[in-house]
Amino acid sequence: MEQFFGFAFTGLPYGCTYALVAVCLVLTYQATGVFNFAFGAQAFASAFIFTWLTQYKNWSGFEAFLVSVVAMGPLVGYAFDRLLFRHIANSNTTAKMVCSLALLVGIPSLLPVIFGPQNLDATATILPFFNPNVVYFTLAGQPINGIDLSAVSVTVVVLVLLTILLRYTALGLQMRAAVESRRLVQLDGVDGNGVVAVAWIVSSFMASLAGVLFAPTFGAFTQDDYVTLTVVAIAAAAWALLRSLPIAAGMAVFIGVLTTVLQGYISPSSFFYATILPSLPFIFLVGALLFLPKMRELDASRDPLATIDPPPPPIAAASRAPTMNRIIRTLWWIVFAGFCVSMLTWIPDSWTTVFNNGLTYSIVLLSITLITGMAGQLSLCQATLAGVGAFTAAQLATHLGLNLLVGGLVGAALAAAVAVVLALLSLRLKGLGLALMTLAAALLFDATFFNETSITGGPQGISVQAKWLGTSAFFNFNGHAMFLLSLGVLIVVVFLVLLVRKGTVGRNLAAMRGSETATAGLGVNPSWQRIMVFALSGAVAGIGGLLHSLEQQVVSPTDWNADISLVLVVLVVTTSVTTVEGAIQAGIGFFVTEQVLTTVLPARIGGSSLTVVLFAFGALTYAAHPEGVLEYQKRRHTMRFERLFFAKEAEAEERKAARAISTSGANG
Amino acid sequence: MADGDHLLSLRGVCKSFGGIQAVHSISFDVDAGESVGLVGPNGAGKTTLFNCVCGQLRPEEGDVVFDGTLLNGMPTYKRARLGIGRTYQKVEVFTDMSVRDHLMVAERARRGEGRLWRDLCNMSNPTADEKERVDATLELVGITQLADISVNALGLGNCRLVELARALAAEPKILLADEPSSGLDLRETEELAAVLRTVQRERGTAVLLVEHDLSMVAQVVDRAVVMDVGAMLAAGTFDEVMANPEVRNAYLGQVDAV
Amino acid sequence: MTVDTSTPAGTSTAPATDVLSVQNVSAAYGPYRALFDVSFRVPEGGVVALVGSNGAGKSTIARTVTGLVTATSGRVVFAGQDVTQLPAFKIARLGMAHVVEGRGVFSTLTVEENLTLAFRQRAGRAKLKENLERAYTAFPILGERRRQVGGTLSGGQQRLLSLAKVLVVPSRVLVADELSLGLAPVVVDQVYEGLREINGNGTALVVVEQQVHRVLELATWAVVLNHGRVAYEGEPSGASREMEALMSRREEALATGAEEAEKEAERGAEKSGNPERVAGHVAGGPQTPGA
Repeated sequence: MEQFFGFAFTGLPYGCTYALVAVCLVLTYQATGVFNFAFGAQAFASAFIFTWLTQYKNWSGFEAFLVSVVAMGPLVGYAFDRLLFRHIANSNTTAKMVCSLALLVGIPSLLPVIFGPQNLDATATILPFFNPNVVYFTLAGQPINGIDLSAVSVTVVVLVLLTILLRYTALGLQMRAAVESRRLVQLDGVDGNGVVAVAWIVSSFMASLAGVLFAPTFGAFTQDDYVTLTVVAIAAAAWALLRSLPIAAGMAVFIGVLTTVLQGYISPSSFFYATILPSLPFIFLVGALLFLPKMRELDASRDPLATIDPPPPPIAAASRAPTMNRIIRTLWWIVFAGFCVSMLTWIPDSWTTVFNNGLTYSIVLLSITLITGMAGQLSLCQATLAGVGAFTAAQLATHLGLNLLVGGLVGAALAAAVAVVLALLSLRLKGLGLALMTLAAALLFDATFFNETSITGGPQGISVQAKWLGTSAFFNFNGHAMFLLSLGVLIVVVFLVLLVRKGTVGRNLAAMRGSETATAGLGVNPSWQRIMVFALSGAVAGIGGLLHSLEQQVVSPTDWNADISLVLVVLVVTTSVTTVEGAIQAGIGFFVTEQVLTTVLPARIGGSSLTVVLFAFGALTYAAHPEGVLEYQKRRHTMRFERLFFAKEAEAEERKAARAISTSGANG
Repeated sequence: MADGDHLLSLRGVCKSFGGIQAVHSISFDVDAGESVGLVGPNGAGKTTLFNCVCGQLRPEEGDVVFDGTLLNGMPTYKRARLGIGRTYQKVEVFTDMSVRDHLMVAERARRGEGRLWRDLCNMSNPTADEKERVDATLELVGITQLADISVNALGLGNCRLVELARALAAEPKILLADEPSSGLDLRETEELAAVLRTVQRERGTAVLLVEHDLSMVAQVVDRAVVMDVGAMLAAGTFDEVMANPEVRNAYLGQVDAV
Repeated sequence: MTVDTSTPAGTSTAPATDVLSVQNVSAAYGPYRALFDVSFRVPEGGVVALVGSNGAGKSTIARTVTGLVTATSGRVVFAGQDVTQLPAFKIARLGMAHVVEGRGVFSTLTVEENLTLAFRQRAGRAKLKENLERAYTAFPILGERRRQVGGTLSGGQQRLLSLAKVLVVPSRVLVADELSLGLAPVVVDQVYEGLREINGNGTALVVVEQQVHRVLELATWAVVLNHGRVAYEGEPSGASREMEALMSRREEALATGAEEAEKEAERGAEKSGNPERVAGHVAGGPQTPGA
């Protein structure tokens, strides 16, 4: 029994760490209506700056604390509210999620751009009354030091204070009301926007505090530590239905304690120890999503005054004049032909690689067009599916000598199967629920299959060799051959996506985006439609993943982990998630921007980080331009051009439409 | 059981939410081609009952029998394919979609189509036959000129007509209309009533109409069922029901009907 | 229904003055214009009926007056103060109450929390208990369900709750938007009884309705709207005649197909907006049946 408590007490500080973050996540969701994926990123940013100031600038712990927590936390929260979330308060869940994901991806990439790459080792502590190096007492044989004590005490204090704030104060009541409808609460004389701004300030302050508090626990920390922390907290928050602070805290402590207890009793050499234990939080998350029916209703929009808002910006109108459309189409073909010829003739090898990378990435991104653009759901495991395809093909080629193209089809089929299983598990989930489910799946794969050396070849990965394509077919496989191969596959995939979109399934999915109830009421089986599009998306991702790995000549777990899944979403959302061009522009645009920035900028800034930051900025505009900010600009300029040269023709088309509406009798 | 005689039969349907009985032991029948009004004060459980028939809610007790098939536990889409169509109180149109496409969704769904491989092989373009049927339905509801317009540009009145046309495109045996006049003015309500009568006459579709606007109910229905606080108060021809003193008390108060 | 009988703050001014005046107000939802140059006045303690067909802009006026929608031009003067640019919560604190169309309660808060939120702001913390008691006496059903969350109440009960929020603590002006929509006639009677009672205690009313007859019995002044413009302003008796005239004119226009011409003319007159389209989009956009 003593042994059991010994293991349990070791887990308590971890549990408290998770609990603090879980409680803050619930508070943010309850008081702002946003599920803040970026919470861990905010914590990381504060810890980064705190450590940077103490380690490199020789500031005292207290001064650094003032800057990185007391000043930065509330300021960031206020900025988030004023510049971003206030404007999307009435947008749908997907838009809010995309914004917080963009922050999650953007913030950690922004830090090295500003400060340069740093090796940080957190030692300074900000709690003056607990010394991390002193063992205060022993419990059940376990030494309890200052870090443990501060984790437990801070969590308890915060939990009590926040519970009182949210449940028993006037401000808390106003926050809960303002989340539901900022308009309605104003009619009761409450400044709705102000209340939510306060909530953001509190929440962001908590994130900064948590980040700095726990930096010493990690020692030399990276952003991954904070991502893991957030995910455990998400699992606990999910069991609390994103509602109850005490349950969230209790669940987080339970997960923390259970982990160390299991660690204590299970032999470290067993399979269970290596794979199941790290994925314990994700299993909890999946469990919450599967077994708590209330998790399915998280998204229901509740604002009775939502109609007051100006209607969403009309998606920039596509060109109307037929002549104009013909000209654009012709131009497209000319550019395309020019590009192909250039790729095969004068473009240097370094740039051929860039474009090949872009083309193969585009295929993976098209899988997001299928799920997010057509089914309107956010999937955060597309990189995982791509990885399944790539690893399967690489393993089949290594061990069975199977041709890479055949292996690719097998890999695609396997990726499709994984996607179908996911779709089956999340049949009744939508929006946030589905996003969390796919994120959990991605992290589960990272912790288990992708972490298994026999499958992925460890951190350095498996080399993917062109000769596996069959040397006879590809005499001298070089960049040009790779170009032709990826272009061919891309064209096939583009056509498939377009066919689905204009076909019955595409129409049904579009209808489901409008109203799933009404679609089912007509006789469409919504689950079946979704399963099919997930399967296709999985297969496309699998093929894209293999081709991209072939171009890279290696496939490693870090190419296709959960972080990459998030980046992929951010990329395609910026250009356009609703069109196939969007995916291609995102793929090529990403690698071209990266190449240009790395060449032009000093190495200190880091071209690839900056590229991610740029795209993350683009993704922040998703709520304003759901068609993609690039697509929006494109259409706007096309329209301007049209107005200049083809005004008459466009007007005639417009008048035709207007006349039809006005001659209908029942129009109020 | 003499279910064969009726198109839709409800037998002792009960449904409650958190201990509050929303629908308590409701039984009535609708015959093929008949038009029945379901009236009752707010919160009487009419929409709940509709949802029990369509499968969005599962009643705790009682049976719903449609065209000789016991529907208990059957998902919404299967019920729709059997021939139950409906419109919604809070308009549920497909944003960003043209009116014609609304009807195409229904046209394909009716036959349970929507297989991915057909799309991938480019085999799912509308056939001449389908186009003809869609055009006929648009004509019947009187919105032919709206066919290629996105519903985003339409007002509430037209949206209700689009919903009606969409439901009819699935060629239902019974149409459940949930407060079609709510939010419409007198003129629009009359137009909608006229369309409902036409549908019933030309297609022989049975209509179950939930409505507050008694003048509209009077124009459309043959019979009426009155509900109050989840229970059935009266049933009979419209005039009979309205003459019932209990109904007058619960529903109309001191005010004269119509 | 028992209601606070104390006079609302600031009614000491002469009864002839206007507590609210709307002067040449135009309003829009984004690019869609919904109101064109609307003016009317609400005398202290008066009852103004806003009537008109679906999409005529009635709810938009109600929302402009209470600050949910900001006017693009013109002025709204309330209690002697220009409130045109004020946010809704500041106007509410000046003594404006607004019962919104449809659900006007917080579905995640309990009945008691809904009432607390309103009373604490309107009547101060000290009187909270007393006001809650009064609300539960006036609406016993709310007392029975005080721990139930708003979302689980039936539509009629939700309407009663949103009424309780504004009836118990009297305000200077109460804007009531489509109170009778979707309610059984017998409940509508109760609602109107409550309105009459608080009007008797000095609260001026602006009542937006589609069911013309009931509101015109109560009103001292009537405004008929058509396509976002004032079509008639005057005694209530004249309003029903005007409504009928509007109806028959539309019917004629439909029959002769002249409506198209009329609209074409309107479009020419208002370059920046098409009122017809506005009415459709705002009042009954695909998502919500409205106004």
